[in-house]
Amino acid sequence: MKQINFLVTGLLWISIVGCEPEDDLFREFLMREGEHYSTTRIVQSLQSNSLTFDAKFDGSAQYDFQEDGFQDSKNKLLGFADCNSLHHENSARFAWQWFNDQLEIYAYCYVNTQRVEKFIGVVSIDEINHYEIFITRDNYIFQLNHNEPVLIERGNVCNGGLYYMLWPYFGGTLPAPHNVTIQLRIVN
Amino acid sequence: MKKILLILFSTLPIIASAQDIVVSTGVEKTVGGNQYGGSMMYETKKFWGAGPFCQAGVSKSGSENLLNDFFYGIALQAPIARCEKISFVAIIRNGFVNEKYFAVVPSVETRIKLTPKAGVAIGTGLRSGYPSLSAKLFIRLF
Repeated sequence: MKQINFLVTGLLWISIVGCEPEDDLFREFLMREGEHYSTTRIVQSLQSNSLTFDAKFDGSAQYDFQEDGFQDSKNKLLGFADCNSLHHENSARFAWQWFNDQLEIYAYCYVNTQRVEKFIGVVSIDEINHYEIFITRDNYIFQLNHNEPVLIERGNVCNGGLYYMLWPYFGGTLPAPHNVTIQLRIVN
Repeated sequence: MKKILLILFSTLPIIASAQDIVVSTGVEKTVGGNQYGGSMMYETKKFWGAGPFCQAGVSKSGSENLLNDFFYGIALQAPIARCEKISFVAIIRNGFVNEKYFAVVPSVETRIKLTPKAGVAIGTGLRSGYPSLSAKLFIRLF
């Protein structure tokens, strides 16, 4: 009986630490028509000096609100609230919008309750792109693929504490005009 | 006062004998890579427990092994079910990653007793929004 126990234990150990290929870790987030928040909703905190992920938009990212004021409203992709802050106080996120018939990516931050937005680049539909937000002592550094990094100065926040994750959100002011799906794979 | 002391001294051996110190070491496979570490749990006979833990990933830099994503804090344990050889427990690890990032990691664990004092445990938790798998060896010290 003891030998069987050890054998089972050994097999379990090998299966856990083994070198089998990773599963496809993309997770689909759906923002339903008429809603802002996406499902699946997950409670999670940032656990590293950087948030690194891959994202893929599909055709549902194209929308037309017939009014520039609404069309250039930023939809949130992924990010985090800074140390023990609420996300409207201090936070850093990637944002996106369908504008001028292209999918534009922005750095979108709240710094001591002031909103700061900076254009980062354009991505294509149905293409996987790589996103990173690095946290340094004074800045958030946004990087899309191998584009030039974009810096936004960090607010006056603590150093050690809770950095809660902020998940995809449609809007802005208006909710999703139709179902919008985004595939996300968090790397770190 | 005398009554309190009398009750305390008469129940102390019972309290002391109804608790264990359990040390464990193991590996957790997370979405960010494997992490290695251990814990020391103060555990009651009914499998409630609490104690410190620490774990870290290992990365290679040239010929050196570097520790990264150091995660330490306090683990709290609650029993789910138990029988003679196997028991199931829920564990919440609360602590800091990289000394800055507060994290709460829930997990469940299956423990298999191999000897009266030692055994193995396998578990699953939630790290960085993805499931993690863990395997541990544990020893009851007292």
